[in-house]
This record gives sequence, structure tokens and C-alpha cells, in this order.
Amino acid sequence: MKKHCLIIYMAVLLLIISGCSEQTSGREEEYPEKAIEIILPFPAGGNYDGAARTLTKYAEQYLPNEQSFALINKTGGANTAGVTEVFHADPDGYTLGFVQTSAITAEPHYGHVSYNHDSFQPIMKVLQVDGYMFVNDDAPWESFDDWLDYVKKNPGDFKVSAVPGAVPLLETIQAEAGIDFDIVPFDGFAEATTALLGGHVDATVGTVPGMKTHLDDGNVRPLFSSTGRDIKGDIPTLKEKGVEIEDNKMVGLIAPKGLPEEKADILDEVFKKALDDPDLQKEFEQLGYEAVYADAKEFQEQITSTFQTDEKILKTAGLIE
Amino acid sequence: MEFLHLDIIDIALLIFVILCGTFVGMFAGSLPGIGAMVAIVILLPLTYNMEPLFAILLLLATYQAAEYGGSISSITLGIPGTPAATATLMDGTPLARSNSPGKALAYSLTASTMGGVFGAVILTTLAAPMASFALQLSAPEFALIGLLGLAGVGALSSQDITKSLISVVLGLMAATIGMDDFTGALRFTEGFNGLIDGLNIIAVITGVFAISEILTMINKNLNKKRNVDREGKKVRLSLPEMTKTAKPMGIGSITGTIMGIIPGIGPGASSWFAYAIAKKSSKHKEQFGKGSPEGIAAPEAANNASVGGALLPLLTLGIPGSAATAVILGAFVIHGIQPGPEVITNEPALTYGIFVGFFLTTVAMFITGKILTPWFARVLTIPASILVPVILMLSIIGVYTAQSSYFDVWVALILGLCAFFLIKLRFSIPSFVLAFILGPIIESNVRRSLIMSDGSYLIFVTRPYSLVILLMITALILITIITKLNRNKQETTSNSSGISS
Repeated sequence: MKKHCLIIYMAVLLLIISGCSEQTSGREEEYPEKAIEIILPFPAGGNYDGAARTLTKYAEQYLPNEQSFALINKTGGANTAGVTEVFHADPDGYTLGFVQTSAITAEPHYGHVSYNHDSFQPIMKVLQVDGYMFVNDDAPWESFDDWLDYVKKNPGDFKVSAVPGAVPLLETIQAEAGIDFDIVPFDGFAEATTALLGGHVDATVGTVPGMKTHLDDGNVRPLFSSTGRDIKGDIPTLKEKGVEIEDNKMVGLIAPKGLPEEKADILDEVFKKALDDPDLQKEFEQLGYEAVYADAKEFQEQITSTFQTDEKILKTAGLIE
Repeated sequence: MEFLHLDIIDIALLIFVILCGTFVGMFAGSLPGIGAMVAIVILLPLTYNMEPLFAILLLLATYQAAEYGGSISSITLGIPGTPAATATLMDGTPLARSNSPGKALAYSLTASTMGGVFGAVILTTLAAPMASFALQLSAPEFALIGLLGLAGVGALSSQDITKSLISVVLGLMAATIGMDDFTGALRFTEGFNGLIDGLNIIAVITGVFAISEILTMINKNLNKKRNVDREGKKVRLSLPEMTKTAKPMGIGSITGTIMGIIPGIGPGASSWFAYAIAKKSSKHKEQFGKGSPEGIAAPEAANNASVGGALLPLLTLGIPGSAATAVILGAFVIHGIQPGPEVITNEPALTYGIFVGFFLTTVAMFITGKILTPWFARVLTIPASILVPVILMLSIIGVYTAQSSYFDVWVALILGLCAFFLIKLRFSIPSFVLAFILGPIIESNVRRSLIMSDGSYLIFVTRPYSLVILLMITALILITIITKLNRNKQETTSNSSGISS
């Protein structure tokens, strides 16, 4: 008798459970129902790792169903290894990428990656990272015009240290402005900066987050920026000075193509709320990052136009045909 | 002083954090392929919610202990746990196999601790002057330092100098694979995307040492067990044994600290330098390569001294001196701190806390090492039939973890097979690895120097520091030739006298 009771009890229980589960799987707004993986194509502790971790820390507070993000550093191939992984992932909303757009706008031109500039579903732009040319604070060039004048009068004399990724841009600047300076490539930003601080080169190209310490200490100062947008302060951009070149470094979230619109909307809302958080903005500022939001459509347009300018830069530098 | 305001619970917690880091670091370091860098990267996410001081010290303790941990597998298995522990292999393995693994590990632990303490002393006392010294060195000096290392290659193999030189050339050739950073041209990548960044150092080291060693073990009797008696497992050094290795420890400490300060040289090269210098200046050169305690002490002191060295430019200039410190820089940044001269003036509590804590990491490393080493020494007594699958599995995991790349695993397996035959033909694998490490340093810095000087080779003699290094290279080569000539002369005279009598 007791045995029978137990069996009936179990059967009823099973029915209830299966009923429940059917109900949940039928509802779309349950996304996300597990942790969302975000692939970071750069090493832990490097480049934009800090920005990614700060952003997801805040975004988790707004993520439905108390789910979380799992950040995975997948490095190699000038950021292309991680981006390729996003490209091949299922567009189910559980694999995203937090990437520097150069891996999408510059690398495909070389023809050794399987994706293109329009192979992804962008979620949003998170950061705009402007490039600058920095000189030591005691350098003789006070302004862009001073510098241009010097370089024009002394061709091949001025030396700039740069990471390999910045070399094509520098070559294009030379071609566009009709000037000639020497580019000294270094493996990493640390080595390139050391060469500047030690006075072994005259300048280096880099970003504000990478130079924050030395800017705060007053050891270095920016001479000009290569960005295409208007920047605050009195530092000129190449475009303002009549050199028709722009280099827009962006960092943003992307997903594999085919991501359902509802899921994209949820993600956009979650991350936008995080970006609007004043505490996040304060943390970003301390690190020297500038949060610049652009929605999926606008972000894709910017990626496409940067893809075209990068093609021009790489052609001028003679790296592609 | 500010940092003494920590209450007793904080101090207990701090010690706990340091011990945790030490344990993880030592364990990770001893696994082939997984080194300081990977251990720090794994622990990094745990530090996000900690106080900055605790976070930094956890990572520093890991870094410090991993540099020692790498030598444990070098000594007991003949497989370096980290690239920086490859030089330890030269004498560590022979000494361990001649029935005293305990002694070999004890030399390594003592030297590591001394090196770590020396690095810490320099960091706390000479940070500012050393940093400005480091700034005066650039491409021409780095290129010559690399050449100096290659010139010292004669010190590595005493057997067959021709085959050793061929190994060097092979190593230099392997180092040219990958994208040329100066022109963007792809060299010898043969269409493989995995080769664009060149051969991964972890894959190379694991392949040529671990995989080849596994193949060698399979070739021998798999069920043979080494018997190590109680005495051989003891991890204790007598006073005379300590004083005997004081000189190489000093050499290692100084070399390691200086090489650590220079960004881009790395602990791998610094331990080889220490080994070469210690051998050149030793009274018992003939014992090197056969289990000389001096040959263990020098590289071991060097790789731990490089930890303090690498931290110096990070704290004073905000420039990381090694790959592992670059990750630690990331940890600072995540806590909203940009290391640099400002930090020392604005956050004295944190800076002094790091200085004091850094000394504690060496103490923690010594104690943990002392407790764990007798267990590690027993590894030698495990039969090969069990060791082989375990090492193979750990090696493959280690290589994969470094870059999450299957391609690297194949690289390691193929290079391992090649190395197995090269070892059978008596080529020198350490020479190959040294050239592989130094090749890119020399190549890129020579080219960089020539861009700086507009193509003039005079840049190598007009700069004071580079001139000094150049003279050292010349002296090293001259001494080698003169000693060789003298020996030949002696041999001929002794031969002729033998005939006449």
C-alpha cells in the first residue's frame, strides 16, 4: 500500500515538474538563462581588459534573471584569434566579443582572416580611444606648427617610436603632409614609451590610458591627435591642420551575425544603463578611458567608414595592393 | 608609518593571502608550461574585490613562488616548469639523478630566496637611481646584451662545440618565424595563422624539453624505479655548502636584478647569463653540467632576483619590466591606481606596504618550499610507467593554457619529436633554446639602433654603455681563444715530453 502511494506521489510530482519546465522554455523573455560569455581578444591585465571588467561589473547589476558574464581572454594573431572565435560562435546571445575595432577594420585587408567588416552584429560602441603624438615635456616643439616646421626643415631627423600597429598610420601621415621622419618600431607600448622617456627617440604615438601616469606627472605632453572627431581642450587634430587623415580607434561589443533582435535589445539596454552609471564613469575617468556610446546601427556605420580609411592607410603604407 | 595602522586581523589576513599566492605560484610554476604569467592571470579575477594592497601582494607572492616552482620540475624531471628555469636544468638534473634530489632542491631554494631578497633590497633602497639608469639604456645596448649572451654559449656545452654552434643557428632560425614587426612581412609562416606571432615560447620549451624527455623515457625501461635513500631526500644544506655557493648566488642576484629592470630581456635570458658568468668565474668549471651546486645557485638566484628587478620600473616609472609585471600593472589599473612616481608620493601606505609585503613573499616562499620540497623530491622514485602519461597530459594542458591554442600543442609535439632525434645525435638543446630566446632581442634591437642612427654602425661605439658591453664581448672571445691556445700548447708539450721519455 505504502509503495503504491509513493509511486502515485512520484508520478504527480513528475507531471508538475514537467509542466513547469514546459512553461519556462516557452517564454522568450527568459534570456539570459545562463551566464553570457564575453570573449576578450587581448591578454588579461592588458589593453582594454580593465575597461571590459569594469563595464561588466556594472552591467551585471542590470542583467535579467541575476545572470552573470564570464570573461574569456582569447589572445593571438593581433587580436584576430578572439574575433574569429566570436565569428564562428552560435548567434544565441551567449557569446559576445568586447573588441578593438582595428581587428575588424584593418586586419581583413591583409586577407588572412575568415571574416569581414560586416560579418558581425554590433551591439554598441563603448569607448572612443583617440591616438596622440606625445613628446617629452622639455621638447623644443611647443605647437603643431613648430613641429611641422622643424620636420620640414630637417627631413629624416625626427624619430618616433611606435608599436607595429601604429606604423601604417605614421607612414600615411608622412605621405599626406609631405614630410619625412623616422619610425622606430618597438614590440610593446612599454618599450616604446621607455625609449621616449630616456630621450632615445623624439616622440611616441599612443593613447591617453596608456600614457596616464606620464601625463599626470607632467613628463610628456601631446602635440596633436590623429582622431577624426572634435576633441576637448586645445590639442589640434591632423584634420584641423589640413592633413586629410583620420584614425578612429573604437572599442565595442559585437555578437555573431544572426542574433535575434529581442536579445540584442536586452543587451543594448543592459550595457547602456551601465555606461550611464556615474560610478562607472568615475572609474573610467581614473583609468583614462572615455565612454562614448553609439547604438548598433551607428556603430556599424563607423566600422564601415573606418574600414575604408584603414584600406587607404594600408595602401599608402604599401602594405596591401 | 601609515602601514603599521593595520590591525591584527588585517595582518593575519595579509599573511594568509601571501601564503595562498605562494602555494598557487609554486604549484603552477612546477607544472611544465604553466608559469608565473598564467598563474597571475588565473588569480587576477579574484583580486578585483580585494583591497589594493592585498591584491598586489597576492600576485607578487604568486610571481615570486612561480619563479622558484619552475626549478622543481627542472631538477626532479629534467623538464623546466618555466622558461626561466631552463638554465637550472644543466646541473639540477644531473645532481638529482646522482642520488641527491633533496640537495639539488635545497640549493635551488636557498639561492631563490637569496635572489628574491636581493631583488627586494634593491627595489626598496635604490629604486629611483636604478630607474634612471634603466632609462639610459636603449636598443644598441639591448642588442649587445643579446650578443654577449650568444658569445657566452661556449660556456653551455663543453662536449661538441661545432654541434653546439649548429644548434645556435637552428635556434636563431626558429626565432625568425612569424611577422616581421618592422615591415609587416610574414616570414616562414607557410600559410598557418598560428605562426603569425612566431613560435610560442611555452610551446617550444615544453616541446624540446618535456616531449623529448617523454620519448627518451619510453625508450628506456618503463618499470625501472630510481632508489633514493632517506639521506638523498633531505632538504638541508650545511654551512660549508652554503658558503661554497655564495659567489654564484651573488652573481645570479646581481645579473637577475639588472636584467629584470630592463624591459624586454626577461627572466629566461637572465638566468642563462647568470649561469654563463658563474661558470666563467668558477674555480671548478669542469663540474658544470655534471651536477655542480654552483650551476644551480646562479640561475636560481637570477630568476628570483629578476622579480624585484622587473617591479622596479613598474613602481617608479609605470613601465612593466616583464610580461608578468604587465599583468600586475593591469591589477593596479583595475583598482584605479596608475603606478608611477606619483604613487610613491601620493600613496605612501600602499607603496611601503608593497615593499614590506614583498620581503614577506620571499620568507613565505622559503617556508613553503621547505615544507613541500621533500615531497617533490620523491617524484624521482615514481616509475616511468606512471610518470610518462602524467607528464604528457600536464604538458599538453600547459601548452594549451598559454594561448588557448591547439596549434601550439601540435608545435610542441612536432618540436619534441625533432628534439628527441637532435638529442640522440648529441646536438645541444639548451643552446637552441638560448638562441631562440635571444634571437629576436638581437635582431629587432640591431635594426632599431640602425634606424636611430640613420644606418650608421657607429652608434654601438659612441654610446658609453654600449661601448662597455662591446668591450666585454671582445674580452670574452679573446679569453676563450687564449685559454684554448694555451691548453693546446700544454697538450702538445706534454705529448712530446711523453714521447721523448
